[in-house]
Amino acid sequence: MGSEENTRGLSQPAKEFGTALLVLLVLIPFSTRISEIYVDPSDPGFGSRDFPRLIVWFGIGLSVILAGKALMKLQIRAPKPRQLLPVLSGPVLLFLVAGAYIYGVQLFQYLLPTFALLIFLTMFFGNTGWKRTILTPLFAVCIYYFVFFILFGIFEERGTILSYDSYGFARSIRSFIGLN
Amino acid sequence: MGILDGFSALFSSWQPAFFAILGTLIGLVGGAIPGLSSGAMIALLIPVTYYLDPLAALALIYTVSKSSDFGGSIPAILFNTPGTPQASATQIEGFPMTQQGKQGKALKMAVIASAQGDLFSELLLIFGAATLAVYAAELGPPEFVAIYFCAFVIIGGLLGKSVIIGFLSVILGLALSLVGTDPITADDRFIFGVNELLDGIALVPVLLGVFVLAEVFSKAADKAYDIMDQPIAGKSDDPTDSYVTFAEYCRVLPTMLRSTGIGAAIGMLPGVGSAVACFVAYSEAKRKSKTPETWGKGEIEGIAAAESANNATSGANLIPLLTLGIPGSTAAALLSGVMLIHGVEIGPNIFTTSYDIIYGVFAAGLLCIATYFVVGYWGSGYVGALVGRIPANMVYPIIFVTCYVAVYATRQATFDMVIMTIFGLIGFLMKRLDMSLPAFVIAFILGPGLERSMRQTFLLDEAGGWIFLERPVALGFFALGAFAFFMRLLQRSE
Repeated sequence: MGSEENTRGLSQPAKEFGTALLVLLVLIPFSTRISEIYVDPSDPGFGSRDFPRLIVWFGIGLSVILAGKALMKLQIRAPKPRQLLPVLSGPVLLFLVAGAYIYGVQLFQYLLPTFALLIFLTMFFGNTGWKRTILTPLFAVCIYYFVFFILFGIFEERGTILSYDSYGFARSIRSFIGLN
Repeated sequence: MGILDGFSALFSSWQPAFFAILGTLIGLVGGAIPGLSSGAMIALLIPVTYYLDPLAALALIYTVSKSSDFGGSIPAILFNTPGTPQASATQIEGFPMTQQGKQGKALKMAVIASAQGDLFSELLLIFGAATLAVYAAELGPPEFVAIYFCAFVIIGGLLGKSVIIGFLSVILGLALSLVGTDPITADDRFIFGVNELLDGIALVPVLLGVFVLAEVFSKAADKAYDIMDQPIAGKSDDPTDSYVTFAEYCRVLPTMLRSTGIGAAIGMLPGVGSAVACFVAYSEAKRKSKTPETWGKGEIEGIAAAESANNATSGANLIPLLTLGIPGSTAAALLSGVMLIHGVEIGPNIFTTSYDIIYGVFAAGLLCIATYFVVGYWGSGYVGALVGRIPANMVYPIIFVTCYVAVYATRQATFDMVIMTIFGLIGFLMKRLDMSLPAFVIAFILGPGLERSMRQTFLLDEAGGWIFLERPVALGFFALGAFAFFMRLLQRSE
């Protein structure tokens, strides 16, 4: 199986098993809900449940076959879960930070969480120095604010902890530069 | 004359032509930034299109996709780093030319070949798609079921290393397209108690998640931020090394024409990307060459072959979208997303329901080719120098935050940010597992159409399924799908 190794360190059977797992994680909850779909008794053709059933069960069947096939190959050479940790740590951290950012926007509105997120991200991606980690995020936040909230006139949701009238500010700039 | 009407629509106000030129410049520079795929770039721009009229929105997206195909060759030639995957073939001959001080010649060859291939492809689209659409408009639900079947088999089966993984990418896309309401009874399904899902999973968060956020997650996983660490090599003293001579042009012309044909033919097949076209054209040109020993050491003919094939796919791969409603590539899938957002009907009726818009988009395509030819011929070196100065580790934080601001801008719903984050993770996992993101997205977009066609078909035929036997076109597409599948299996067993 050496030729099936790729640069990302996952063997082909590991990828196949991972694919099957990912698809099953989505399709199994779907399969439990098919029976809840309303069926029109007068529908003579391919009913409301038939198309979802076809997709979901075909997918589950294919995934089970793929997982079985991959498991047989994996038994020959066991995977090393510890190899995956360095690969997954970055994306998982970003995923959690994204969740915190979304929550932060709901609490403090757009400006502060976005500035904080940009500072974190510039440092996360290896930038150093105040110009890149403070000045660039500040500049970027202002650009975003100008394009989306002033130019496009998007309404900013109010924060539950910190709330300020950003829309009124954006509207006054819009009228100043001649936008409706 | 459709295309003249298209130009008239394009210049009817300042917006469409302006955004066509802006899109060309964005695509040229964005395509030249390694690590930022054209799909990601287009997905990032989709929220902006909400605020434009339909023609300006489509012109922007279409021109970005076209010019980024050429833009990707600039860092491939100058820095040995392809800006897009399809520029890898150009890199083989382009970078050795740069090392010899002939980067000017290499870049000019790339832009000439790109524009020539692109022009042929665009003309094929303009005059071929409308003709085919007349026949496609006669097709009914059974034929469309067969067409969808055929497309999914080709998209799922032909891409990637594993047929089953390809099919599972399609299945995943189809399954997630089921979320929302039943298209006939309008009752909710698979919403798992989340009322925000009643209208289904919104397209823009999915596109931004799988094409953009997933790319940032991948970079975070690989910790590969510093991409271009090489200065541009010095120029040769020979002035003829900075442009393509007439003799050289005449020598490579047959290769360019042949490669254009290869690119256009491959481009029309759903799911087979331009990267395949480039390498097929490059290999074919090398095979036919009288001096194959010079290839890999800076052969200008190799650049001509790869670039003309690369850009010849860009117009041709819209033919399945405009005639059958099947987006055959990532760019076409994204373009179809913008069409859906703006209420432009996808499929053969587009030539009657959105005549001005579609010919306006074709005109934008021609304007784009002229623009990137002019800018590329005289300004590629400057674009390269500009891109070389962009620190890659500043690009990803900006892209990440832009995703969130942009997705919020589309519907002003925080829920879309959540959906995009989830799809970013799903997209990252799919990339790691070698699943096909284009197949997933195309299936997600086409899922409702397939379901509607299937249910309409079975309403037409209460006996269930036998109607397909009475429809020769449907049988033809089923046979084509089955043939493609068995050919793929045969190829695997070899």
